[in-house]
Amino acid sequence: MKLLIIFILFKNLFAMTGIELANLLDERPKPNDVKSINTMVLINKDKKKKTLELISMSKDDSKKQMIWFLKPRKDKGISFLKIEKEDEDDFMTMWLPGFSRFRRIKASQKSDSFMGSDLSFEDLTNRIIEDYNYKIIKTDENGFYFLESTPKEIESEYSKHITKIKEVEDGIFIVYEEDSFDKENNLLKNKIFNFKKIESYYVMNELMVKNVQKQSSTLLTLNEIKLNNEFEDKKFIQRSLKLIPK
Amino acid sequence: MINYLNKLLITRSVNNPLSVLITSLLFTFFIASGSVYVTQDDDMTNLLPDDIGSKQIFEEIQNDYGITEYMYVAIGNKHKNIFNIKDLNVISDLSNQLSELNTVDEVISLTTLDKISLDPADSSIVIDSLITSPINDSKIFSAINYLNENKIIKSRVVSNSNEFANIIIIPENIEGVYVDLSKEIHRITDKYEKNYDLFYGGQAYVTGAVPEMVQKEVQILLFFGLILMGFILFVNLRNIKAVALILFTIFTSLGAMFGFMGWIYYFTETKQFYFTMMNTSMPIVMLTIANSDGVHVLSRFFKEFRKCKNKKEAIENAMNNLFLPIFLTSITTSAAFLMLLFSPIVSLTGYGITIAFGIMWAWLLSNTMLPSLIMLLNWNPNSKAISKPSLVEKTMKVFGTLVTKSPKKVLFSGIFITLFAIGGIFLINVEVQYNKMFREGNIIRDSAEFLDKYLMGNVNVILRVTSESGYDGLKNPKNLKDIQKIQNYLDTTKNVTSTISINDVIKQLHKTIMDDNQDFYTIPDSAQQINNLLFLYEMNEESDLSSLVNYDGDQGILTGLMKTFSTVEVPILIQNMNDFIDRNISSINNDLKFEITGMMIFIEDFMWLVIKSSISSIILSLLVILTISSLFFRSWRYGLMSIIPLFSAIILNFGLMGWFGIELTHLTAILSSIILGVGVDFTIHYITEFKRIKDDNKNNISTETIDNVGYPIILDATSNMAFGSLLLSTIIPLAHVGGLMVFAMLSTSIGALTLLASALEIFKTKMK
Repeated sequence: MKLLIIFILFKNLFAMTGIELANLLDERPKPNDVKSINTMVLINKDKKKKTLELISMSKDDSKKQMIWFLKPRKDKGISFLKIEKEDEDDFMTMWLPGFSRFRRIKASQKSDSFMGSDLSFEDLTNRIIEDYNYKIIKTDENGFYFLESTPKEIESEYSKHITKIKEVEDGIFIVYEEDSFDKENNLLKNKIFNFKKIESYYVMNELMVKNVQKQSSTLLTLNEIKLNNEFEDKKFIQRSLKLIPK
Repeated sequence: MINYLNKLLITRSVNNPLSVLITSLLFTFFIASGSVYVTQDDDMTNLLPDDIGSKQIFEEIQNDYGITEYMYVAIGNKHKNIFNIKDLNVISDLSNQLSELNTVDEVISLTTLDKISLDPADSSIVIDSLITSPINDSKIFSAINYLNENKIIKSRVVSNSNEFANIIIIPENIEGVYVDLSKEIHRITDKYEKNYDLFYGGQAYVTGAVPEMVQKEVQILLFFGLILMGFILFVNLRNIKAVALILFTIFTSLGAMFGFMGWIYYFTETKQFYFTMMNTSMPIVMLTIANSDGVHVLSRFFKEFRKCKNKKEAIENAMNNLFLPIFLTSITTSAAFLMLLFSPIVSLTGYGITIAFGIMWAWLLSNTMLPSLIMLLNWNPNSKAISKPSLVEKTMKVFGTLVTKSPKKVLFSGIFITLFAIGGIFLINVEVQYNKMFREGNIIRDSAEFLDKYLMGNVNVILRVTSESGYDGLKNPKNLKDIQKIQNYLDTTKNVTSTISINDVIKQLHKTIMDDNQDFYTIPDSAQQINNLLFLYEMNEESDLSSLVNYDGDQGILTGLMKTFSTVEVPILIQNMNDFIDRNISSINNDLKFEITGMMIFIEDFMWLVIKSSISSIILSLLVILTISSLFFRSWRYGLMSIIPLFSAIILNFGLMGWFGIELTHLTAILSSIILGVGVDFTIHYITEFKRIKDDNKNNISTETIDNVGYPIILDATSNMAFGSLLLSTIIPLAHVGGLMVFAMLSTSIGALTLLASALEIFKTKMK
């Protein structure tokens, strides 16, 4: 009994804090760059489906990312470039082949839908650790942590996220599920993640997002994942959007 | 069988009046207690049968694209510009409150409107609110600039003088939404009425607000009508007890009728037994018929009492004389109303059954409760009311002599007037345009006129466009350009104030992406460009094309916002649109299919259905009356005679409407039911009395018949004319009902005492 009390005291004394868990999650080993062919299935509230196919190239934990649409045929060639910047607004632009024009997407439009899906541009952007307050609201017997992240003073479409996290290997934490709440604190989205171990990395290969308010969902599947392709920074520029990579 | 029933009821009522009275009242109160289950349904769209083509398309559109009939609230002050911080904050506040209602899908106003524009800082496309909170002068300035560059968008939310803002409310697609929402709008806007002028409109608003308005007016005017009816009865009968007995018979019959309706709904829960706007006329019909039974019994009792001075004998004589005609009139009228079972209008079937029951219950009460009450009360045979005939009774003797002396002159005069009326039938207009339904000063009329004059009008026409080539077929440039043709055509037509389709979004995006160059406010030439624009648009959080085009992109709707226009012009509008499509689109593009609908259009279809239903019901009712009368009088000649005055009264009624420019609406169309219901009463009473006197081989048959039944017929008709009080209604068709009611009473009573009387006098030797 004494041993048990000492164990509980010891455990509480050295219990992980929210910020520590967020850091551990962020520090998970990641490849330098990723190339994949993705399918995105959009399902509206009437259960009607629309399937998109796209090529994605990203670097630095998706801080730099380019996407080219392959299907449906009517949208083929539309492409997107995002470069996240620490001290200034992110740079986001689109290439519209029909008009041979680039069009900027404003950083303030982060709540906008990403290509008509249930993912917003904010969902695709990495969260800066310092921009949020963290709190572990509970743990369960299966080893899951429930981390609450509340935005500090940044512009966000959400009031908070509750993320279900698990340590899959020693010191490696990955996200299993996340609930995101709107400004009125009502559940807006539920995201379910699936990771696949490729080489020594845990890489997300499936993401299911349900917008509970709109009753629509999006299933993003990453296929043909290739890691560490040695993409150079200079590749992530507007001009690259004009040509669909092979 | 009838004789047995007659003897049974009369004997019991006269010998055991108290037990008969208690029993009949107990049964009546039990049935009337069902009134609590009467369920009101003000949603006019529920009245329509599902197989009206325009309604089917309309409902499909509502399911696929959301509600397309809007409600409008215009707010502002004359001679004051709305573009200031205070007024815009009020509009924002009002828009937010309306948006929060469960019955509202979307609110479009100056403060909720999205703009598609180019950010001059980095040339990015911005889809954002026109004015965001907190509102300040620079935001107002920028909004004014945007609206001045986009006049079409501006015209939807601001009046041309900038004095009034238009708040467009799109209701949720839920049952009974129009009625609930129109009430909720007033609850929210009430507090602004002190500082602002407010106008309400839109077909959805009218559909929601009118039924309650009609019912309230009918209730008030019926109350005054009843008081007037009591007064007329008193002046003629000169006995307060007699008037009270007639009114008591009317109220108990009315209670039983509503109770029956409630019980049937309680047990079956069928829509047929909802109390709808169509049922508003039920109390009027029931009151006139129950009044008729009471008047005949009381006036006959007085006549008999005057002769024999013995109450019991007088009641027995009166009831023996009246049992058959009252039974026959009740059976024929009920059967005539039961013909509504064949009506395609859902609520009219329940209407027919309920009225038929009410009529038979009124008959039962007139043969049980009424004689037992007469028996229980004390009557003074020496009172003026009983001992001396009234002025009308004396006049009837003169009238009877005239018919007997010059039957041909009387008959041909009647035929001539009827023939003259026929011409008027061809002049009847069908009208559901609600501006014309209300007098000046009525909130609906004033608001509608304001919205027509200064904003986008009140009604919609909707064109559903389908591409036969399937997925995304609608979005190819050729199809969009062809849709633009009909859109341009509609924009040039007289009553259309604005049109909305997916083309507006595409053109606005095209212009914006081409650096806000107005030359590009067009449909792009390539499918890729169109798809790029829509891709860009759909990225926006607020973007929603679901109200304009379906998910598969093979079907969309084009909405034409219109000023209120006459129903007479609806078929012309449809014809012109179809002709334009045939000539300019279908001849070169067989991929597109166009279907025209809108509430205005299917309400017009509904009107025709009511009218067709009324015509078939008139014909069927006349046949039923002919058959029943022939069977009971055992002579087809008497059967034929029974419908002659009814036929001519209906012709006179509709002819008069034509000659005097009274429009045919679903309210004025019900007059035919009243004419038949009351008219058959007069003719059958007359024929029964005529036949009885003739069978007794008496001379001066017509003089004696008129002497006996002329007075109750005239008294019945004049007391029913009390419903002429409806003439005071601010709802014009209801006022017309009041006026026509007076005329119907005159035509049916005089028809019975002239046309029928003279025809019977001329052919009396051939009547067997």
